[in-house]
Amino acid sequence: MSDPIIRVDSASFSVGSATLVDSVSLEVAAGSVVAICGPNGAGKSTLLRMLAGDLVADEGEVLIDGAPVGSTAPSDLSRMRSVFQQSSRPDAPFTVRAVVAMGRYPYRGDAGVSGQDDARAIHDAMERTDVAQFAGRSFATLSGGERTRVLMAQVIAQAAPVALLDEPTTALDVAHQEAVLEQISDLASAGTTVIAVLHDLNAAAFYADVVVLMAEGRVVATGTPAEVLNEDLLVDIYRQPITVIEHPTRQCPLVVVA
Amino acid sequence: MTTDHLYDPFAVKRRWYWVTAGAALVATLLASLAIGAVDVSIGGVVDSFLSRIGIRTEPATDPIVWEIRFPRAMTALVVGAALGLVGAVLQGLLRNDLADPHLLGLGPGAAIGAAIGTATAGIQAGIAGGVFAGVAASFLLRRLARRISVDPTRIILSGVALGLVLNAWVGFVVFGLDRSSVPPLEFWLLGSLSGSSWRSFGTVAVFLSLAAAGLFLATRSLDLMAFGDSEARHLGVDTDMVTTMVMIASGAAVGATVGAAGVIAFVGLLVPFIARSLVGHEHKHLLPASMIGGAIFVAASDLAARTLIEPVELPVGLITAAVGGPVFLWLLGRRRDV
Repeated sequence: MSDPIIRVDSASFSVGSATLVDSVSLEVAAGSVVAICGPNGAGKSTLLRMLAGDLVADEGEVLIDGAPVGSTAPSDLSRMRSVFQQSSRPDAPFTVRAVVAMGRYPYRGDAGVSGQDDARAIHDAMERTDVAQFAGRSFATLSGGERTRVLMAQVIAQAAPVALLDEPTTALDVAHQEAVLEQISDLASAGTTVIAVLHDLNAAAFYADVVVLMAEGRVVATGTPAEVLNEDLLVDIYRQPITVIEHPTRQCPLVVVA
Repeated sequence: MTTDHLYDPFAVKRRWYWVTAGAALVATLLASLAIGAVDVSIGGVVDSFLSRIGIRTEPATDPIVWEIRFPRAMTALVVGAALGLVGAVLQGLLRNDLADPHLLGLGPGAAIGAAIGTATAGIQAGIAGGVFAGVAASFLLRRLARRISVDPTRIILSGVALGLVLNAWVGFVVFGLDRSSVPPLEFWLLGSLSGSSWRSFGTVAVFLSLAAAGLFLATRSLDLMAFGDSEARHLGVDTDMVTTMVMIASGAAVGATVGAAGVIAFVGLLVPFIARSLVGHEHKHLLPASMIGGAIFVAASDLAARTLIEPVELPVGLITAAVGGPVFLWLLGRRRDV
């Protein structure tokens, strides 16, 4: 692997006596798509929040581009990574365009970034996520799926080298799930490193370069989808009869509940 | 070229707001200068202005207009503007329409310092004391909130409790001070602009300009924080720093208004509430709109306070609450949740 853009070095995070993330180590190559999978309570979102700098590791280190995220200033961090999470303010009274435009906040006052650059980035992001049609509507009036697309547009407008996505396909119908996953692929082909918490193992199987399988705060397996998504492992951590077969049309594993 | 306006549902309303509010501001100011115990014609008011630049000679009514009513009206305008601004800023910061500087204890806190300052060295010291105590109250609230919870609702609850305690202390302090040197308790609880002069206006204006500059620096950060705390941090806002800065500047601004005019209720609650429905939630529009709205509201209320039952002068806070309360309730009932 070339120099990893993200390096997690035996990082742990505990709340009280509960260890949510237990001595996790991880290296991510620039431009790859990494899916973090695992059952509920495995520590996936906690790990993502540690990568985002929201939570600081009790032990170990989390580095993006060599900088420890826990002690990097918010303004510097915002140029290193973008974060998608389900909105904590779904009633926020801002227009769709205003929400997408917030993605440009990290570049305010930059000599090299003109208002025109901002406007273009906002416009492109809205076009790519198919939200330009309701740019003037209030974010609060959107459906869950529309909101997800607007927040993805914000991530795209932010144009950070690393995108951290917490369950971006939840609350989406099949077509919009595929659309978001395609956007993730596009981001990666443009050089962005994407790390996404995904519940859908089949989305991970097709779209991810690397699958990180977690259980009980630990990383159980890391590797290509074909390596990680094997029956024995999945049955073991999900405690559910599972069969893995060859996908009939896509060249990747297909995980089926048996 | 920007295409922002194409996406802005408030663009037209906003234009109307600026035109209407601008006209109302000028009308309120002129009325404040003309109306009172001695009637001065608009012509007399204009002559007073023209005499300053040497075009006319001073009319007989000039001292009333220039030395009494004009500084008082100007003080009302800046005090109202500050209260509207602070209300809008705190409501954005705490993501709650209930966040009002006086409700949160900043006003009562400032009143204690302002009363002591006034008793010691007059109104100028009262304004400085108000600023000092307003900042202290905001620090106290910030600390309490930090210890209790980062949840905005809890911050508001602790502010309300703090406000009630501090209000009681305003009473103790005012009754304990030499009565002849301090305005009575009504002044500190209900507000009055009767003590205004050019000197006090100058002092208030300086403090308020500084505080307002600090608050305007936070304009865009507040937009992002209104969208969510963690979201704002992800986009590069140092939310902790912004919160501290906004609270200190708010404390200073409220403190200056309390030193000059006592506690004028409801402006910080009502004005941003109305402004939001007319100019939208983006703070770059909301903050100036709340300032101009607050200025009009307080100046018009002061005009009513000193003319409604002449020669008795009512506390201006009575008018703002008596008018503001019902309007607020009516608007609440009308608002459809989207």
